[in-house]
Amino acid sequence: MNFSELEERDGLRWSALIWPWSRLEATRSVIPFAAMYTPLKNLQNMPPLLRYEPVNCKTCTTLLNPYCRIDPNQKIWMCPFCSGRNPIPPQYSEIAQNNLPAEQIFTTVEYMLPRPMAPPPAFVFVLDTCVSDAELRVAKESLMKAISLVPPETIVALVSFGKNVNVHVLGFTDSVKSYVLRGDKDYTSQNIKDLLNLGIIGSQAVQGGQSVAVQGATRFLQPISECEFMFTSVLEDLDKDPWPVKQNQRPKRCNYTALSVAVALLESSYQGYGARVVALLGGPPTQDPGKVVKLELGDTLRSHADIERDYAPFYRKAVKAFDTIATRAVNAGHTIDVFSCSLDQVGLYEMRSCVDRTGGYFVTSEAFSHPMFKKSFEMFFKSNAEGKLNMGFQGSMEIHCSREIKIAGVIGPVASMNKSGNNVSQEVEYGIGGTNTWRLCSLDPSTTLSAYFEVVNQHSSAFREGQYRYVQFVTKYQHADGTYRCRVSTNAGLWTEGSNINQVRSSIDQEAAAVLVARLSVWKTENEEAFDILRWLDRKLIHMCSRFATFGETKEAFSLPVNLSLYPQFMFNLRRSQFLQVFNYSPDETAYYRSYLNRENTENALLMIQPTLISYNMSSPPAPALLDVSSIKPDSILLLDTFFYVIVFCGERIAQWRKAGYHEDPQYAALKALLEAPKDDAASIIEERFPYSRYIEADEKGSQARFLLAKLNPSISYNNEEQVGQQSLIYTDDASLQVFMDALKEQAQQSVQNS
Amino acid sequence: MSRYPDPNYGGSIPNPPQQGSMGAPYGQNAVGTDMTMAQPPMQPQGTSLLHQRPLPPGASAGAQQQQPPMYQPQADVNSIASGMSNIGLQDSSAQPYPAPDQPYGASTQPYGTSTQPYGSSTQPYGAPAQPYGASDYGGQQPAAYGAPATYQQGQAPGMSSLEPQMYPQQPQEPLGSPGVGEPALPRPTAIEPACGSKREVYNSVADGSAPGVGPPPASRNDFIGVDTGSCTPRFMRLTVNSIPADSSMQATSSIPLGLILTPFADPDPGEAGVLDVDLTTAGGGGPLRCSSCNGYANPGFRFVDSGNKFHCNLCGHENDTPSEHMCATNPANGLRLDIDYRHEFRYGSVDYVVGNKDYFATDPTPPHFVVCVDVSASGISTGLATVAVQSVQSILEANALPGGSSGAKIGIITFDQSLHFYDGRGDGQARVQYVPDTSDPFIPIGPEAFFQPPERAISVIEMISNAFSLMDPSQLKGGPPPSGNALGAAVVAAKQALADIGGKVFVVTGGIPSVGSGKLERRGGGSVSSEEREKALLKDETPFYDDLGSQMAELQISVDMVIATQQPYVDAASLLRLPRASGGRGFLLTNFDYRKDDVSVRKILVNAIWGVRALDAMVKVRASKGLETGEYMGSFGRPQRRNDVIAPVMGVDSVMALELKHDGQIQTNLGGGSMISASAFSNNVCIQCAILYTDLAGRRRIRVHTMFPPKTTVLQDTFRSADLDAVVAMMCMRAANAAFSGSRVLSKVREALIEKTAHILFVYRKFCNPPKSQSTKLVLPETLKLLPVMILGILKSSAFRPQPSGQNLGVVSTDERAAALLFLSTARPQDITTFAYPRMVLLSQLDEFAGLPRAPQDGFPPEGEPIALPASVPLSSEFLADERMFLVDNGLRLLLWYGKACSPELIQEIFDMSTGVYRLRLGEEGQGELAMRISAIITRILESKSNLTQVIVAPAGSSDGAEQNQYLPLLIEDKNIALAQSGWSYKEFLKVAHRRIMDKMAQERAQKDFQAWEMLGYQ
Repeated sequence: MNFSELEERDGLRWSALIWPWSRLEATRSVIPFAAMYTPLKNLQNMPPLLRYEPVNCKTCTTLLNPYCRIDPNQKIWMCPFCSGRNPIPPQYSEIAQNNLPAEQIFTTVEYMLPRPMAPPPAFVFVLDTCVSDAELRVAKESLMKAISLVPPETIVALVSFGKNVNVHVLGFTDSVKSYVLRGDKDYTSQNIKDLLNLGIIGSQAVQGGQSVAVQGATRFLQPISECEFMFTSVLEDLDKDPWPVKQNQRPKRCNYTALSVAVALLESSYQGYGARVVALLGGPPTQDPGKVVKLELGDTLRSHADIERDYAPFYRKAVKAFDTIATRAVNAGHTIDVFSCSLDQVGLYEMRSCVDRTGGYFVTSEAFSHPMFKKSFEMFFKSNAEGKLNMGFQGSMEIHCSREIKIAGVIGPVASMNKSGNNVSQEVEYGIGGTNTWRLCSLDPSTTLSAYFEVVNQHSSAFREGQYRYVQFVTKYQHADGTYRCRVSTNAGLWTEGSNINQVRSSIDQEAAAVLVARLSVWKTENEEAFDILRWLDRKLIHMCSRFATFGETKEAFSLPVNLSLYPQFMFNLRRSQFLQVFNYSPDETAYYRSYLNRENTENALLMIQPTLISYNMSSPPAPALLDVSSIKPDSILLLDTFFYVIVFCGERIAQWRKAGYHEDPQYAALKALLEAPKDDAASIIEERFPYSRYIEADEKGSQARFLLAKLNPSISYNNEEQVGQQSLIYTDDASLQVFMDALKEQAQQSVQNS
Repeated sequence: MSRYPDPNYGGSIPNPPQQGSMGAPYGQNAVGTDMTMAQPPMQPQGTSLLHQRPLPPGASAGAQQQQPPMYQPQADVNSIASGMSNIGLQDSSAQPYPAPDQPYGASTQPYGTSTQPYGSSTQPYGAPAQPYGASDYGGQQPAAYGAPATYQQGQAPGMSSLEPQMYPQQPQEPLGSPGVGEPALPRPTAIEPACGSKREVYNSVADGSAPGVGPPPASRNDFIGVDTGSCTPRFMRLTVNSIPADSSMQATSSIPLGLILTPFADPDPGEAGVLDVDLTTAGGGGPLRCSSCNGYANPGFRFVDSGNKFHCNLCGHENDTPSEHMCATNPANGLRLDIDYRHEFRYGSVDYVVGNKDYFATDPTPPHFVVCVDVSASGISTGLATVAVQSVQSILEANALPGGSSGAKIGIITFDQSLHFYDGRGDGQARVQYVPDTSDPFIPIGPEAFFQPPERAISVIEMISNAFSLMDPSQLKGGPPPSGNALGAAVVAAKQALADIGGKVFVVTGGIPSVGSGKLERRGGGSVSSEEREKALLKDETPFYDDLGSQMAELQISVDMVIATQQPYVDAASLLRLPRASGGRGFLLTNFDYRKDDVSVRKILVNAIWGVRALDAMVKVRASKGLETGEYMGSFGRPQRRNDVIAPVMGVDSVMALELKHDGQIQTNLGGGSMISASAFSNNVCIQCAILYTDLAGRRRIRVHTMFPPKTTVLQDTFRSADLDAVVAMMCMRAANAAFSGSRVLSKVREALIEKTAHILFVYRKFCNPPKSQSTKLVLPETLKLLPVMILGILKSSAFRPQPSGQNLGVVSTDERAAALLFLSTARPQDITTFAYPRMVLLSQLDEFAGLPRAPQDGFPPEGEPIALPASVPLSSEFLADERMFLVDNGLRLLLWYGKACSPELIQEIFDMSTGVYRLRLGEEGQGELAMRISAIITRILESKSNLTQVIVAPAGSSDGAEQNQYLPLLIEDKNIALAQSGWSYKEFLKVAHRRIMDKMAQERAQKDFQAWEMLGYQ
């Protein structure tokens, strides 16, 4: 079964296509019954936009879809979800079996709802000025670049901060003006509105018939076409935060207040319309309620261990503070993106809810001058072929499903809209549950949600052959061009009787399943107290193997079907990954990595869990290599792609040749070509990726090699060094994949025997 | 003339030579000493002497009869008559003073309940049926003071009659001049030098003698002070120039003992400034000081042992001379050989420039200024913001910012309902930052952005002008300015800006702060219903401004505040506590009208900024053993560190009053003297005021003023040497502080002032009067002969005037009251005496020299004499006449009154009325000679004031209230029925004082303990 093809049709990847009929059997199957859904995926075969309102079932509000049965004679259609009968509306009077509307043919269609246009999207830039002059200059250049990239009707505002928060006036002024709020004060949203006079609703300033910003806020929010000069002057005049920083101290920074002000700016004037707060942070907040560290440099930023042992005095308060901002942004439907550019942590872990719940992006790099920031920032604002931003706003996704299943929850950059319904599971909650509708403050073609379901059929209920389960995803959003869209994907899947395990087994998509389990495990480790995620993962894996593997007398007789053969390895790498291992990772890194795991599609998420390794050598074309230390060969070059970074790794001999300069000798053109091939491939990978990947060149036994070695299976370590001689080895106590598999086989077999 | 000498005491001082040139024998006054006055009239009731005062010939009889332009109508006179008769001034022999059971207040028909009150007069005010001269002064008026018949005929030495006229008699100016034998009441007009006379040269130490015992020249007169070894009265005035030897003598004398300091007063033309002693180059040591009491070197230090040792004249300690100050003495006279080069041993005032780190609390910085301008509706629409901004601009453009050439910087905050800060670093374009959070204000930009040198600040000013369209308010962008006023927040922000460096803040507001920190409710504004209510309104509504001021003073920041408003009530009582507590000054302009008051605000601001002289100052007063410092009053920061007073910023107008207390017997003869002769100061007390401060160039300096008043055990000496100006100032400051603090109702304060006055006079009467004059006459000491009229003036001033009952005439709003009280508590002596007894001059006929400059005579002073002012006239409405024009100056206002018959052409020659308001023409073409001289006079007066710029023109019968509410209340010698008790005429007040004195005489006679003092006084 080609799962990618299926994904191309609907943007959906299911953990298994065929589901066991009863709850009991489903539980026994161990894998979550769930889907990875990419609502805005660019689908090749989607029909053109449908420029009318969709028709929905009167009973269950499901939208008309190809699985509905039409009875042209009685002018009714049957809803497959609730079996409700609905009259065919007059505009479909011509409907017939050979004359069907697009939504009756395509499982995924997109409506363009006939409504007044939304105003152009708004961006509130929040710029940290507590950075060096050089850094600030680069950051300002990037901002200038950004406003040159986005469509000119886009509305922008600028908030700069340091010790205090400056909200810059971009409209109606002949001088450079800004409003300043105290950085160390916890203003309520109402305070900010009052102080900045945002609440005053005067005559609506109409620009091109679109702007709805009220008088008070139009001072700060202006279309680029109107305020470009002002924006530029303001930026030019913007200096480093003037407040002196003592020798042994951090600058006074108020990231929290700045974000709060930016959110308030949009809340009061742009509620319900597409807007993003784009924060450029240069360091951790040190003075406001979001403070994560003391001013003194002697106070280091909290580590995972500190947080675990409750040695992080500001942690809880900061998390709470940023949560309130997240909640406000979600309620207004606005997104917060954080670009952090600092060698040290900036408190992303505390503010993760601001980004994760609003569908924003984290981008981290060492400095504003680092290409990771500069390129990512540019890509972020890049328009698509139609000259529009590549993002949707104010989205919501509703899931409909047939009666046999209920919705257990969604994991992804979403927030609950707390809309309960019959199809919402009362018993299990995976991720954000308790609702059938979620808010996506913003979404883009890569935004991928995982939706988890629960099979609720009782074991005793009769199974009828040929019965389908139905799931419909309805995603409404504001397109960047101002139109309101609604994308509908409807999926039907087969049931199988509980005892027929083969059918389920053969329909499992191990990649999707691995990602779904990975997201679930991250969710659990973040949201469940004192949860030992590794044990849970191991147990699940053992149970799954005992369910789906075939066993013989010996260990070697253990085998998994082809479509599950890689699953244990995925789990092995997931266990070792930065998503679950916090040792050696700062809380900020953790927040950053997890945020991408939860928003990228199956392919990318899997890449994060288990990177790809390609080996280049003189004798053969580039070929995928085992993610194993044994793949390191003196005469080959390896290209490792972990999604977050891309490494080109030269074997020892090749590195020597290169250092000797052979590749510059025309005689050795082949060497030159070999050296360049992986670099070119790496460049093309990075070019397409958001965030811009870190690119590393490493040589065997060089210092940068550690980035590669950390990802390789330590099949050769000092535990078994003698057996393999002069090979590269990894200094680790971690078990190798071999050890892991051996243990797994044993445990699985025992589990089968015990049951 | 020089000091008005008392020949009996001064002995050898001749009468001034030029007196003879005057028409009137000025010296006649000078030889006069104590004044006596018969209490009871000798004439029977119904015959008056007062009416015999000849009317000025200029006032033709016909004019008077047609329309008496007087303030006192018929009813007034009647009440005087009735009141007097009731008090029983009939016959001294019959009833020298009222019986104890019939006190003054209980007289059967008190003034306030006069049968014919002012308002209900059956004869309307100014009715022609009762011509002024005919009946009022005809026969009803009882005889009052000064009737020739009441004079003691063989007066004791030192006594003089009231006969000398109080102002020079000039043939062409007979105004108020007495008729033959007509005595006059003592008035400040009497102590003025003759119009056009040369300024008196006052040597602080007369040649070859000990410092003088008489009081220095009156502060309101022109004089040239010369420091000849002791500090001149320009900087320091003592209330008595002979210090009582111990506390019991001081207690008896009852004259407040203290000094009034104006340490940074600018020298008058012709005066030398304070000389510098630069110690920064001389090895970095400090000034020579006594190692025991830390007193500074002064002409009283006596060097012994060939200069190796010296005696401190403050504490008597014998010190070893430090090597850096070592100099041999001249064996002949005991003086140091370097005396000619060491100013500190020669002069009473010196200014050290110190480099020694002991005198630096922090590194001195050049001055930093913050100007806070109201640009809310109350500031913009009234034009106030425009004036304020232009004023600052003019200072900057004229390069007149104090310390501007040595790194002084200025920052500007504008405020409406939010605060606006300007970053002036950008090229051409300033950047504005708004702070809307006025409940928790802060300064959003760094100091290097906020504070700008003058040339850059100009661009900030221009930016502000443009932003608020100050030059053309009709062009205001973005609708009307917000009405919110965040004054308190602006000052808090200014405080933060200056927290580390100290400096001066100038606040200009057009209204009451209505938002944010320091927000005030409009708790007053209507008529003040009761005294208790007024007391409550004079107390601050919130301690915010008082606290803020104190905090700022601690941080070496001082605030000047200008309130120029059109609002009926701005709670000045609360607001003005800010300048008061921080050692600054407050100015209130009510009914602000841009068209005419713009120059006033400009002048106030310009002078306030320009007048800054010292920053980060600390004042310490030391006195000879036996004297210690007591209460401080005046403009300085509240917090006192032991005896050091923090004065964040001091300027030319800064005043500090200090009480001296006895700490036992004063010890003199401790030091000796280094300058005149070894014994010159040996019996004299030493009082030394040292001010450690940072000057405008950022140098640390110490200014030392030293005085050497003699010590006395003779009570009479204290009276002979009393300085009226200082006494009045001390009394007023104390009274104003009591009233402003809200701890006393005003009537109690007034009562205390009257009582104190009476007591001083009683003491004099009792202990200093020759026994022979045991009569019932009112006897006034020569030096304090003006005390009653000064106190009367203060009582009738806007500071203490009771609210008139049921009439609008002379109503004082709480705001004006508060402003006047603040003025009194921080004003210079000359301002206070002018406030108490305004200077009124007749402009319609000028003295020979009036309004003209005088070339130097005998080559000194080289600058020549300033424009001569006409002799002033008594403040009585009886001089008002249709064809006359008067100018009156009370220190806060300058009013020009003219009668109905005055030539409108003259008015137009003096004033430009094209804009609908009176604007003084200055040096314009087309003025006639009279107009030019009048303009010159007005200009001269205006120039001498730091806060006055404008003449309020109050034509007779004007409808805008200028005459009724501003001019007439200044005529303090008139009776004001509306003011109930305090509406006494001058004569009545003297009567009241006299009665009290006699009461005291009656009571105190029985007290034995005073007998001892009486004896002491005549030893």
